[in-house]
Amino acid sequence: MLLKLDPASGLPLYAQIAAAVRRAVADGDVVAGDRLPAARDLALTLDVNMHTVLRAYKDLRDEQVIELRRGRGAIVREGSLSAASVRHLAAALVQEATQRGLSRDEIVALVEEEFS
Amino acid sequence: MRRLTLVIVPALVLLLLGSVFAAFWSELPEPMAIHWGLNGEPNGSAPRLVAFGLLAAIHVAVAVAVYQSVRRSPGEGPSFTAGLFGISALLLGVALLMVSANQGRGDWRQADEVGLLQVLVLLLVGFLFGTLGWVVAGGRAASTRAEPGTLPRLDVAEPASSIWSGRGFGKVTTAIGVAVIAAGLLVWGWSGIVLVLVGIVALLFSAVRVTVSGERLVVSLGWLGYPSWRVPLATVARAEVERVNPMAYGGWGYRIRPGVRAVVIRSGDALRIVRDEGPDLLYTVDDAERGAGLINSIVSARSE
Repeated sequence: MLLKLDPASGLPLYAQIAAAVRRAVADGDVVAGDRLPAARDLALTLDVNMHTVLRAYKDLRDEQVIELRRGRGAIVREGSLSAASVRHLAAALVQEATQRGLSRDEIVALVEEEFS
Repeated sequence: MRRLTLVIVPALVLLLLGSVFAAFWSELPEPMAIHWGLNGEPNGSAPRLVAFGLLAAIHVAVAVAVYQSVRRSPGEGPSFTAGLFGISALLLGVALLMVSANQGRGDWRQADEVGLLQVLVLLLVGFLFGTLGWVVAGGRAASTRAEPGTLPRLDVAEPASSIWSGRGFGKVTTAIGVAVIAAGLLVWGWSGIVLVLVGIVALLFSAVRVTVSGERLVVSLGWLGYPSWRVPLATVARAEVERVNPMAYGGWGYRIRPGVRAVVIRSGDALRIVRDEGPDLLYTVDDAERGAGLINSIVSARSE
């Protein structure tokens, strides 16, 4: 499994980890049934507290992207693709729009326009 | 040919198992001793037919499981055949030990003592026959390293902020671990404790995980991911992919060979890490090609 963090995003590390998993799912690099790196291993590798990794994994679980099982680790769920890709698209939209100088209100207005 | 071996050998072993009991049937007490305690004294008995039936049933179950497994994954044929030969030899040894301890006794309580030494000899014999099974099934004792100059590379924008993880799972080591623990629980006493410990060690080496990020890689063993250790990428020169044959490393487990320290869980692709100093490190994990690629990209980006 290959995940790509994005330090340039300025997000806290746990959010970078969650975003990296969402991106991998959205790009099809990771599919249902795949196992994420064990939280302890990932924490040791990145030299961070294990809770940083677990926070990212819990966010992903709440979004129904992964399933967390004691002793079995974090496994990508069926249907994770839609869950992750929508989140991923939202994140990409915010990033793209911000880079082009749009304000928060303008982005929200853009999204609302799509509904009308 | 290989399939036929997996039918003929178990049938032959079953015949031998039956002959061992049949030859001494009238000289065995009824019931006979089948269980020995910590002090080596017999402490459990069963009717002769049950003693034979138990060993035969275990043997048939193992033989069927091996046949099915080899049919499903022919690539693992040598490993499974090794397991079959090893367990067959172990069961035959147990039958011989049991019969000889009971032979000529009027009552099972007078059966000979069975101690640690006999059990160790049985395990050794099982291991030797396991190796024979490997050779018979065409297992070759050579591993192939990729040609020098064709180092795997991974084309990512920011190798230093990428994370790769791979794991290796050993069907053979898991099967051995479970079987040996089960045997240990059956055979109480010191020999049982030794068997359970051997089984736990086998389970420890039934899985390995490697996680790589910008600064270092982490290796962890077994289902619990413990023990685990870190290797700083600053000490790594390059990474290669190697097709590993466990026999070339003298079997499964933590192998110390000239110039390499290897964790061999299964046969197939492995990640070989060449360090600036000290022996290479080798781990049998899946997706080793991308893992080695990421390591090489990080290492070469650092030196530029």
